Amino acid sequence: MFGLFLKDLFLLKKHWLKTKYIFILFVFLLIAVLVLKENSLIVSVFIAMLFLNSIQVLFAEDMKTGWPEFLNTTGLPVGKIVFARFLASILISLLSTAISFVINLLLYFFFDSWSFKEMSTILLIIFLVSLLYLFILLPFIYLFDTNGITIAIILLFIAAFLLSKVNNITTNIANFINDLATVNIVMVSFLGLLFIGCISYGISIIIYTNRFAKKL
Amino acid sequence: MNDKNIIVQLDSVSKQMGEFCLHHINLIANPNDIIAIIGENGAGKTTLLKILSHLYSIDSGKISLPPIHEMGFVFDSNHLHEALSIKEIERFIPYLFQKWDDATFSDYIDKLEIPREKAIKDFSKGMKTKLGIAVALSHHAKVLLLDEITSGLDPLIRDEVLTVIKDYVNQYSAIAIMTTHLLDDVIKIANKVIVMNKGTIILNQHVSEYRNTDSLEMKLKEIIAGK
Repeated sequence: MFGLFLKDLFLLKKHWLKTKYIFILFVFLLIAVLVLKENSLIVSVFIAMLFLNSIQVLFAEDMKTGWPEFLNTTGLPVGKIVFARFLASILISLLSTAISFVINLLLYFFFDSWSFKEMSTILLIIFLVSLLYLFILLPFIYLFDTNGITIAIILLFIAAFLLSKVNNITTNIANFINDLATVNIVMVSFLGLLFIGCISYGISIIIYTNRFAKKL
Repeated sequence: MNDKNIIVQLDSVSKQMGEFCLHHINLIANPNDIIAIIGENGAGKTTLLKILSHLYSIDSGKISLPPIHEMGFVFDSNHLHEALSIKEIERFIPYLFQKWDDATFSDYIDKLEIPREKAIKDFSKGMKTKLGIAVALSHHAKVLLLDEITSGLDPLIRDEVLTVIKDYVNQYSAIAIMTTHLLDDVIKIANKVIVMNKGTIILNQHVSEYRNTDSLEMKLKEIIAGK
């Protein structure tokens, strides 16, 4: 499992640590700071979200080389193979948050428009939302390969639209959150995330087994 | 030969794959055997190799194979990520195999003169095949399954690759089962040859019965004419 995680780490490093990407990021950020000024926080969120989709690169690279077929010859259990990819997705979420942190820190020094507490809250939200996004995405990518992201996003929008049609659902959710103490909101978020993570992991194992590890 | 020496045994194995059927395949492999499977495209060589690889189940018959971690595979194409270099592969691959041997892998990399710093995407086909072999031979596999590994290689690299396989089999009393289209490979390293046609084995003999590639080719022509 650690070996697979390490392999993903090397691939991510190769993919992102390129001068042209760092340069584009820097220029993009500079323009955002000059144009948007204190509102350029939105750029950090955008960059973090963009970085999240690098999970797709890992899957694309695996499919290109027939990596699942190679893994079948190692005798590694499917649970470990899928878990390694989940670890990689947690790492990507952490890195996304770290990128946001660095950008926010720069903005904090330039504009001083956010308190440190507000910044920490935003970073925590970025981390939780990005992790949630990846947990929802992973089974879709296992099932539909690189089309998984598109299909997942379309389904998420449809689900959100349908939910919005249910009477008073947004008011009920808002009331529920309002009634919770801050510490409970954090706890409920973590528990919800853990629950979705476990479901996503289970579904991913089933999909991986049927697509790549099933004896024909 | 004592039965305890038999590592791979197939008794009347059959497998239906869509319209293709593998009929009553019998195969016995003992330590130090190098078995070459030849036949036209669609004869059933790859299906047989996938059954031996634990990748395909069987419909009928009996099969006895070592566990998957005691088998080494070399595919006809590279399955390792093209962006990575040997230096990076050396870091993570030990965690993927139960009995990985770092020193053996490193020795093969040096012996086969595979560059450590280059990304695999910059390797020639020969280099990629050599890398596949180095991986397959570095985890104490008892059985090697080789799928047309010499196709598209120049004669020098082909010789080098075949010699490494032969040395490994002799050194570790292992078994190699290889599919090939090249009769030259059969004469060079195999001690048994299996000819397949339309899902059945039509010839299973010791290679020592043939003096050279020409006599083996003549025998094949006789069989095909007889059919």
